[in-house]
Amino acid sequence: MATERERVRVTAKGGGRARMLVAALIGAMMLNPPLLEIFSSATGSRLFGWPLIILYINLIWLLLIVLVVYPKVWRLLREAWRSRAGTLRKGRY
Amino acid sequence: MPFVWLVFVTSLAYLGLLFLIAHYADRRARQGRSIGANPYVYSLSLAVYCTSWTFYGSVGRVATDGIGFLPIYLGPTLVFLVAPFLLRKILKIAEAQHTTSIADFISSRYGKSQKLAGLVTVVAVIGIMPYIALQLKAISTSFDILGGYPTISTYLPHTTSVLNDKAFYVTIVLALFTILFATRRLDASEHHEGLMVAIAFESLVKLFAFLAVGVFVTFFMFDGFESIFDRVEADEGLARLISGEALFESGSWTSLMVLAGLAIFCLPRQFQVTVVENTNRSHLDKAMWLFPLYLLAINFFVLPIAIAGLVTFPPGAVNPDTFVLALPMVAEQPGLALLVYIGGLSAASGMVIVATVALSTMVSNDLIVPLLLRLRLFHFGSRASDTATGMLKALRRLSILGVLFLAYSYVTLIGDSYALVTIGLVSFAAAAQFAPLIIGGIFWKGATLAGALTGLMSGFLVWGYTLVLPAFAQSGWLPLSIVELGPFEIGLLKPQALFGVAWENPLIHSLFWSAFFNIGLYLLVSLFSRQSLIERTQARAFVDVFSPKSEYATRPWEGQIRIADLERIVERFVDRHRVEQLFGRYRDSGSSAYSPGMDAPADLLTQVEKLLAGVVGSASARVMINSSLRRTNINLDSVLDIIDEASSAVEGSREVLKSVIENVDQGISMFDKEMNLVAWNRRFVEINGLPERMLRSGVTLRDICSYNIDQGEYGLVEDREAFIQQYIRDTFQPQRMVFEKVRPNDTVLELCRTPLAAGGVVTTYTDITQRKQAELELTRLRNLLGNIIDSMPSALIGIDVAGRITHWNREAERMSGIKAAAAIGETLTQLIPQFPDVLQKVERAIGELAPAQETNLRWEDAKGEVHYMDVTIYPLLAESVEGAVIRLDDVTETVRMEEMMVQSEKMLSVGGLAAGMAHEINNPLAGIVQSVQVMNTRLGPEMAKNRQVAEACGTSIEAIDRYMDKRGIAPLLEMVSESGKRAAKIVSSMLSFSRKSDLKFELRDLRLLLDETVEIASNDYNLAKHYDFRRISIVREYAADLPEAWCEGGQIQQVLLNLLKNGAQAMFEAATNGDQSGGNDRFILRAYRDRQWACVEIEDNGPGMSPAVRRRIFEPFFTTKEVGSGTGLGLSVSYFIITQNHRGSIEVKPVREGGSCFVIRLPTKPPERV
Repeated sequence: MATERERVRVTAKGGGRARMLVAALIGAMMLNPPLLEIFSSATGSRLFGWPLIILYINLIWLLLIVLVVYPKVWRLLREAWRSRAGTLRKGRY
Repeated sequence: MPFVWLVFVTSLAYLGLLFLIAHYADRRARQGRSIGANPYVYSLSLAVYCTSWTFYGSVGRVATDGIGFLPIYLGPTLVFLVAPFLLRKILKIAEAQHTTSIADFISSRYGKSQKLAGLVTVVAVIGIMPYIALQLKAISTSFDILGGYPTISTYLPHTTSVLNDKAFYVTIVLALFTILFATRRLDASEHHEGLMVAIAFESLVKLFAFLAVGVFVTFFMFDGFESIFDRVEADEGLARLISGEALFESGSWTSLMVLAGLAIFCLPRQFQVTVVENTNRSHLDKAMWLFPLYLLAINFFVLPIAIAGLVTFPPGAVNPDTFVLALPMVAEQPGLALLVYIGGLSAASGMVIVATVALSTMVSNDLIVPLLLRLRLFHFGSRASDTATGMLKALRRLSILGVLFLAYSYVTLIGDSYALVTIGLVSFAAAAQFAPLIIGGIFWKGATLAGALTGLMSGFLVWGYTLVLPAFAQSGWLPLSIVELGPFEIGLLKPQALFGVAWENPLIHSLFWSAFFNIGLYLLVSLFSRQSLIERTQARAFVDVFSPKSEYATRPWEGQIRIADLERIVERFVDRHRVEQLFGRYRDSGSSAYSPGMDAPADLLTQVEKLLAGVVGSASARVMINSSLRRTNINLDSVLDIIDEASSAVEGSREVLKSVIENVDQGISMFDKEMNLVAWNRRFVEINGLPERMLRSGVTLRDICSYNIDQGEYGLVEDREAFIQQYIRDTFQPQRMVFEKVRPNDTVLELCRTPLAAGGVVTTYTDITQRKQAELELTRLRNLLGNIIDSMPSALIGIDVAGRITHWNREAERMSGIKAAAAIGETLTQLIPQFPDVLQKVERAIGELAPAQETNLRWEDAKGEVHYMDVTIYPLLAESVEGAVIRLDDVTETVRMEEMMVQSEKMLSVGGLAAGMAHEINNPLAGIVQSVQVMNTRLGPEMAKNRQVAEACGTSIEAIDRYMDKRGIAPLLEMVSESGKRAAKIVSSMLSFSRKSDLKFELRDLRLLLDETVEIASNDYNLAKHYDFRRISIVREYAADLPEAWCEGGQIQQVLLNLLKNGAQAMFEAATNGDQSGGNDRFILRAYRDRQWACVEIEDNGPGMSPAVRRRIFEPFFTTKEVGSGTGLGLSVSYFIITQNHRGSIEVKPVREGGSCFVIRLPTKPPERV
C-alpha cells in the first residue's frame, strides 16, 4: 500500500505536464524528417569522430531526458537550498 | 570440460539465479518488506521492451537499414514524455477496474464484453506468438553458435528432432519458471513482485553485457569511435545506410517511430509491466526519464558494433544478427562471448516470461473461462464449482504451457522464414491495432462496443492480409501468385498493393491500411451505434476517472442475491482472506445497513465484481455475477428509463448547485481522498490568489500548498516537506474544524473544513477582515469605556429594568468588597439591602425617566466603620435601553470635615468669649478669694491684733470662734473660697481656647507619650471621684512602624490623660450602676500609621455613647456627668488642641462589643506654617 507521502506525489504537476507535452511535440519534430535530412545530407561531416546525424540524434535524445529530469532536480536543489538557508538563519539568530 | 557444456551449465546457473532472486523478492514481499515496489525496479522492468530483437536484431538491422533501428526506441521515448497524459490515466483506470491484462482493460471499457475480450486475446496471441517464437529461436541459436567456439558458424542447419532441439528445453525451463512465479496467486491483478525483480535484474544484465561488448569492440578491437566511423566513410554503401536517407525518403523512419510509440503500451507484455504490475502510480515519474535513458544507453554501441562486424567479417560470412556474439568470439574472448550470451538469454527469457504471463492470463480469463461458462462447465453458483480456485489455477498453468509450446511449434514450423527484425515489426503492427480502442476509449465517451469490435476486427484482418499472408506465401505455405497478382488475380486486392497503392516498405503499407480500416470503422460505427447502459457507465468510469463521481458510480444489476450467498459463492474463486477483508470492510464502513440476510446492494456487488475481475477478468466476472442473481420482474429497459430520468434530474440539480456555488460570497474547495482538487468556485480563486494555470482537475493539495509556500503565504518555512505533510494531515482531520487565518496581506479568513464520508474534504473560505476590524474597534471602545468607568472616583453601578446589575466598576468593588464577576447578574436588593429607600428611588427614577438623588446616607461597613454616601440615580434614556446607572460617592470625609468645621467654629466663638470674660471675671474672683482669705486670717485666734480688736469690742476671740463654729460660718467661708478657686480654674480653661502660649512642637514618639500618660493616670486615684485607675487593665497594640508625630508633648499628654480619665470614670460608673466590681475594665491603646498620619486609638469597654451623645461630645460645656462633677470642657479643650494646635483630627466611634474608641490623627511632618 502506498504511503501518505507517495500518494501525495501521485498526481502529475500541472505546469510540468504542459511542459512535457510541448517537449514531446518539439522532440518529435526534431527527430523526424525534414530536420533529420539536414544532418543526413552532410554525410562527410563529423564531430568528435561521430557522423553528424548520429551525434544529433543522440544529443536530442539526451536533451529530452534532461528536460524530464531537470524540473525534478531543480526542485530538489531548491528545497535543499531553502532548508540550508533556513538552518543558517536559525543559527544566526 | 567442452565449451558447450560450460555454456549449458552457465545457462542453467543463470536461470537458477533468477529463480533465487524471484523467490527472495517474493518472500520479502510476503513479509511486508518489499524490494520490488520501487520506481527503479519498475523502470528496469519496463526494459523488457528490449528483447533479443534489440540485443541481436538491432545490430543486424544496421546491415540492411542503417540507423533504421533507432525509431524503435525514439518512439517510446517520446511517448514517455507524454506519460502524464496517457499512461497515468491508464494506470488510474486499471487500478480502479482491477485490470488483469490488456484484453481485460479494453473489454472493460466497452461494457465488459466477452466478445471483445476474446477478440483482443486472439489478436494478441496470433500477433505476439511469432515474437515469443523469435525469442526461443534466439536463445537456441545463440547457444549453438557459442557452443561451437572457437569455430564461428552463424548459419546453422534446422534441427528436426525435438529432443535434440535446445529451444525445446529452453521452453520447458521458462514454462516452469513462469508457472512457479506467475500463478502462485490466482488474482492476476495482484503484482508478481518476485517475477518483476527478476526481470529488472535481467535488464541490468543485458545492459551490462551489451555495454561491455560495445566498449570492447570500440576501444580494444578498434581505436575508438573515430576509427570505426572512418570505415564508414571508406564504404559508400555503408555511409548511405548510416545517413538514413532511404528511410527518410520512404517515410519508414516516421512510421516506425509511431509504431514503436504505440507498441510501448499496446504490446501485451508492455501493458503487463507498465500497467498491471505497477504498484504505485508515482513510480511513473521516475520511469519517465529512467526508461528512455536505458534505451539510449543500450543503443549507444549498436552502430559501432554493427560497423565493426560489417568490416570484420567478409560479406555473407556471418549473419549480422549474430555480430554481437561473433565479434568477441573472433577476438578470442570466450569469457566476453559468454557474458554476451547471458545478456541475450536475459533479453529473450525476460520477454518470453512476461509475454507468456500476459497472454496466458488473457487466454485463461477471456477465452477458456467464458467458453466453460457458456458450456455450463463452470458456474458461479453451482455445486460443481467448489474446486473453482484449483481449477482456475490449473487453467492458468495450462495456458502458460499452451502459449509457450505454441510458440515453440511456431519456431519449429516456420523456422527461418522471417528475419528477426521482420518478426518483431509484424508483432508491433498487430499490437498497434489495439491503440485506437485504448486511446479512443479513455478520451472519448462516445466510442461503442460495436465500433470497437468492427474496428479491431477489420484492422486485424487487414494486418493479417497485408503482412502475414505475404510472409506465408514467401515461405512457400501459400502460392506466391497471391502476392504478385492478388487473389483471383484481382490486382486491386494485392496484399502488398491494396487498391493499387504500393509502398516501398510493405510494413508502411500494412500500417496505413490497417489503421485506415481500424480507425475509420471504429469512429464511423461508434457514431452510428448506441451504447448499452453498462457501456455508458464504463465509458464514464474510464474517461472521467479523475473525477470524484466515478468513485460512486454503481451500475444496475438485473436481479438480487443475498449477502451471505454472495460471500459464500465468491469464496470459491478468491482467497478466503481477501473475501473476508472485502465483506468486513463493507460491514464496518457503516455506509448502509448491513445484514447477511439482506439483498446485496449494488455497490457491494460492484466491489465483488472487481474482486472477481482480478481472478477471471472483468467480462467473465460480470457474467458470473449476473448468472447468480435472482431475476426481478423489472426489465432492463424500464431500469434504463428510470436511470435516464434520474440522470436528467441529477444533471439539472448539478447545474443549479453549480450556479449557486459560483455565486456565493464564500470560497469553496473540495479535495477528494487522494487530495486532488475536484471542485472549486470563483471566490476560492480570488481569495487565495491562485493563478489560472493551477485551476484544473487533478491539481493536488500538495501543489496548492507548495505554491502558497512559494508565495510566502505561511511566512518562512524551514522544512518544506514536513510543513506540507503537516498541512495535509491538518486538512484531512476526521472532525469538522473552524478557525481563522491571518494572511500576509493582513486579510483575515475564516476557514471551515468539513470531512466527507467518502474521504475527501470541503473547505469554505470567508473573508472576515471587515468583521474582525469592527470587532477590534468595538473591543477597543469597550475597553476604553471600561477604563474610563473604572477610573471614576465614584462607584458606578448599571442595572437593568429588573434591577439586575449589568455594570459594576472598580470603585464599586472597592467600596463594597464585592468583585464585579460576583456582582453582575445579581439584583441590587441582594447586594445593598441596607438602602431600601434607594431601591425605591431607583424604581421610581426608571419609571419616571428622571434623575433622583439622596445625600449623606449613613451606613456601617463590615468593620463597623461609619461611612456617608451620596447616591445619584440616572435612568437610561437611550432608545430601546432600559435601566439606570447608580452613582455612589463616598462623602464620609466631607461630612466629617463639615462637622469639624462646625465644631471649630464653636470653639473659636467660645475662645473669643472666654478671652473677654476671663479678664472681667478674674478680678472679682480674686477679690472674693482674697477677701475670704483675709476674713479667715482676721477671725483666727492666733493673731494678737484679732484678740485686741475682739476685746475692744467687748468679746473675746474665742467667743467669736465658738459663735462661728456653732453657726457654721467657717465652712461657709471655706466653700466661698473653694467656689472662687473653681471659678478661677474654669476661667483658666476657657482661656486655653484663645491663648497661644509658647508651645514647643517637635517629633515625638506617641508610644512613649501614651506610656507616660498611663503612668500619670495610674497615680490619680480618688475614692471621692469614685474610681481607681490601677484596677483597669491596659492592652497595648503599638505598630512597629509607627512614625514619630509632630506635636507638643505636654498638650498631647493633657489630651490623652483627659481621655483616659473620662473613660475610667465611665467604666467605673457603669460598673457601680450595674453592681459590679469593675474587674473587667480595660483600655486598648493602639498606635499605628495611616497614610500620612500617626494615629492613636484609646478604646474602652465601658457603656459607650449613644449617637446623639457622640454628635455633641466635643461641644464646650456638654457633659454627661452629674452637675458639679465636670466642667464639660475637657473634651472641647482636647478637640481644640488636636485640631487647631496640631492640624490633626479627633473623633469618637462606637465599638461593636460596647464602649467607645477615640481616634486621634496627628501629622508626621511639620506643617509649612504652624
